Amino acid sequence: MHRPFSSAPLRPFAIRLCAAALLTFATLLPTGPAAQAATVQERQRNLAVIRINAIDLLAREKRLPLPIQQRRDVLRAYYEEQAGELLWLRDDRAEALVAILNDAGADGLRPDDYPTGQLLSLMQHADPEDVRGLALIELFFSAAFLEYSADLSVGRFLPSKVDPNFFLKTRTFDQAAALQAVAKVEDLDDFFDAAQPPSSYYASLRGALAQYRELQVEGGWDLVPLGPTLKPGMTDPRVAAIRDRLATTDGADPAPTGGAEAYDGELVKAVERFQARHGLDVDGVVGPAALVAMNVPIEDRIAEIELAMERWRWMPRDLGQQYLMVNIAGFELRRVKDGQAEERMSVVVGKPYSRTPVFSDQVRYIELNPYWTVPSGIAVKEELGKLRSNPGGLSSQGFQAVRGKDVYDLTSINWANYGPGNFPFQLRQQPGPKNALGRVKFMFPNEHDVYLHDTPSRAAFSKAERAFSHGCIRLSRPLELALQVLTAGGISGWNMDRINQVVATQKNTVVKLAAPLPIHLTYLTAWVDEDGVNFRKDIYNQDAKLLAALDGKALAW
Amino acid sequence: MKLPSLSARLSACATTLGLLLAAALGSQATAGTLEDVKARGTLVCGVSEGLGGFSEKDGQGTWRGFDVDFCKAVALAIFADAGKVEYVPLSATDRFKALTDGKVDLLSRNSTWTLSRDAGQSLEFVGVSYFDGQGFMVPALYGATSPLQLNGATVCVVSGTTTQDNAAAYFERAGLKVSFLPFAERQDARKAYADGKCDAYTADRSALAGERAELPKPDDHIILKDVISKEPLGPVVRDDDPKWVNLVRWVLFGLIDAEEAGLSSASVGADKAQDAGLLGALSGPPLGLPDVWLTRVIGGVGNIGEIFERNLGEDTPMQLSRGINALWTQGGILYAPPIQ
Repeated sequence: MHRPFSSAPLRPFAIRLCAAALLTFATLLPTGPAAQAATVQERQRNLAVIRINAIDLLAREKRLPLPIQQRRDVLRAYYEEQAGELLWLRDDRAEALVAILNDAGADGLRPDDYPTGQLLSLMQHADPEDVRGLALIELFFSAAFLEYSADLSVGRFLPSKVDPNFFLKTRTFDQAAALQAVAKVEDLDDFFDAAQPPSSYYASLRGALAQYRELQVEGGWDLVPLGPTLKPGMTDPRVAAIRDRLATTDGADPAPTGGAEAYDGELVKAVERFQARHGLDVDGVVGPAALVAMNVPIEDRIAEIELAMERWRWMPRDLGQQYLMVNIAGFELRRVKDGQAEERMSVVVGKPYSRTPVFSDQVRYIELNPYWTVPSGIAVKEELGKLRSNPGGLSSQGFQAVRGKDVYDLTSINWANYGPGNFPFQLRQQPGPKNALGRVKFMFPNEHDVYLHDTPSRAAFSKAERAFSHGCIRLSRPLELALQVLTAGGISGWNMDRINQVVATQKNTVVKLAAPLPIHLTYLTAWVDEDGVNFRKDIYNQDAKLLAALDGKALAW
Repeated sequence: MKLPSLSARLSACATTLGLLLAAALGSQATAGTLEDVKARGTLVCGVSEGLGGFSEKDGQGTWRGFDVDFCKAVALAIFADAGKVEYVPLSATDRFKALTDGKVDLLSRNSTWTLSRDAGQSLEFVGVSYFDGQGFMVPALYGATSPLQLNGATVCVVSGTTTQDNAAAYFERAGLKVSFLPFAERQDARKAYADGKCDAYTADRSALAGERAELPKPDDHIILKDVISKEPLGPVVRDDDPKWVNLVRWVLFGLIDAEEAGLSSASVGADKAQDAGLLGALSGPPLGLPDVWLTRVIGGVGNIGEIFERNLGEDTPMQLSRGINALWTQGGILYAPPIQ
């Protein structure tokens, strides 16, 4: 098999094939109109011959280089079609593709991951007489194009390979459609713009990435020395450093009038903006948490933006006209309609060892005054002792035992007769003010038994970091969301009064949505909103794992 | 001590007193490896028959490499002379037998420390000098960044080691189909890869670096970052002479601790002379070495970092970055107990 990339010295390059296509491009085009006409004809003929050779390679060659071999069928199908003309050697597109691959960083991808140097070298060492070699070059470019397009569009990693806690449906990349589409566009950029994740979340991260890269070139930011907590009104020699730091990202005035060491006025406002962007308590007090966040190097922030962009590639392309989105790392739920966040509320998510999983689903019904059924493992392990010693205590919290269709008062059963391996009951808590799920739950039935619900313990919502649950998502304003979800789900006739009335009855009430509402559970440590670029801690250590995977390191490290 | 004679003696004296007797005889039979080496005037060091960067003969017939420098380090510790080494090139199959048969004092030959080699034979791995692992080389043009992209590939491999099994198991776990093209000799595997008969070449990454350097255009090939097996390489000695085990082990640890302490071939003769002297004086007597041993070793071959850079580093044909072979204080996992 001919391997043009292994040897082939640079030969004098004849213009007859396609000077415009290879190497020097437009500058070498013959000038006279007659010469032009002849060359164009000849060129067309040569392109046709290269195409026939490409088809022949794909159809007959036993072993093709792996990137082509792996895509043999889809490539063959494309080039054999009547309209399947050459994609790269036909004009200056090969060069344009190389330029796009070299700019992969703009999309948070790594230019080094793509063989641009080798592709260029193939072109430079191409022998214009060797139509088979040229056909192979065309195919190499197509393979590289498909690789990059898939990376850009659906991501470099199968999410579950990075972390078993990811349950997003693996999206496949339609290579045949990509070849068809790129053949049709006038400008390659048009194709790649469409191949990117289409959401505005991705586009804004892409903008932030460019901005942060620029900041990085300008030197990023200097460290602010740690020290005593700084409150508005105090003076401190570190104020100048804080001012410089926040002038880079939060609009602090770098050269204010007045005392250089006074911490007040607009600098406090800038600190508050910074705190809001980093999920810290917004109080203008510069304590250790704020300083540590300020001192995260810009390289790390850039990496966080890139990882968030990678995660967006894994998301469904169509989020829905209306949807709920939970960002686990941001402890927040949004309800979005027509691209606008109409509701944002604080949520509590799973602890690092009982993580809320990442997946997309649909809310199908809500349940007012829900029962809470104790998971059977927990029932025996944690509650049996209480059942034996003081069943009345659990009774007073609304618990009862269910066996088949029968419901028992806890005090009516001799619990000494039951234990591990012999526990034919379900423990459930009746609706009411003590119910662990509160007044409402939102169901999107899934294999993980994860749902949204109210909670009687409100204290957690006042904390900036809220990873406390066993995996379910607790809502800070559940009844408001209930009304919104009913409305979005096409159920009419509900208002807050009616919801409150039903809650007051303490009667279990299921309301099925007419139109299921998409819900996306995500894990994003970077995003952009009206405050600017937001960053959050990697509470589940998933950024670290993804980064390690991208660096080719074993995931266990 | 030679294995057959020990076992012969053991079976001959399998009486109640036999074992004690055997132990006494054993220690009588040889004065100890260090004494033997000193009496002989040279260290006999088993090395590879030729592995780029690890042990190979240069144009002048001089042995060079990472493993060779370790032989030199031990010779420096004993004789203050890196030249007092007799190199015995050993094949993969012969290496351990040569050591147990007493043909070499020390095996410094890219050998992976495994349970069966350590516990199953009369061998002692003194530590890990190089954390290797199996990887893949592919043409850069392929644009591959992970072995998980090699579905459908034909992979060149040298047969007779665990390499093919490792790779087969890896691809099976990942649900990928690859086929292997095995060769008995490395040269043949390399040629098949260079001729395009294979899409990838799998071996330990250090070996791949050497193979890549031999290709007509090394830069047209990349070694993927992924590592699919643990291959901790280290010097090996016989396990019947604890004094010798300790000496060789602490020469290795000394090379690693020296880098951590900032002792280098340049600094031990200058600003760090006193530090090196103190550490040497502390460790010399219990190891049966002169107090100046560490100064001589580091002054002669440098610390582990210098040995790495000289033989394997970015400026050598091997072009290896230190990666996990950096000190634990610098993002790697190279770690030695302290000389205290």
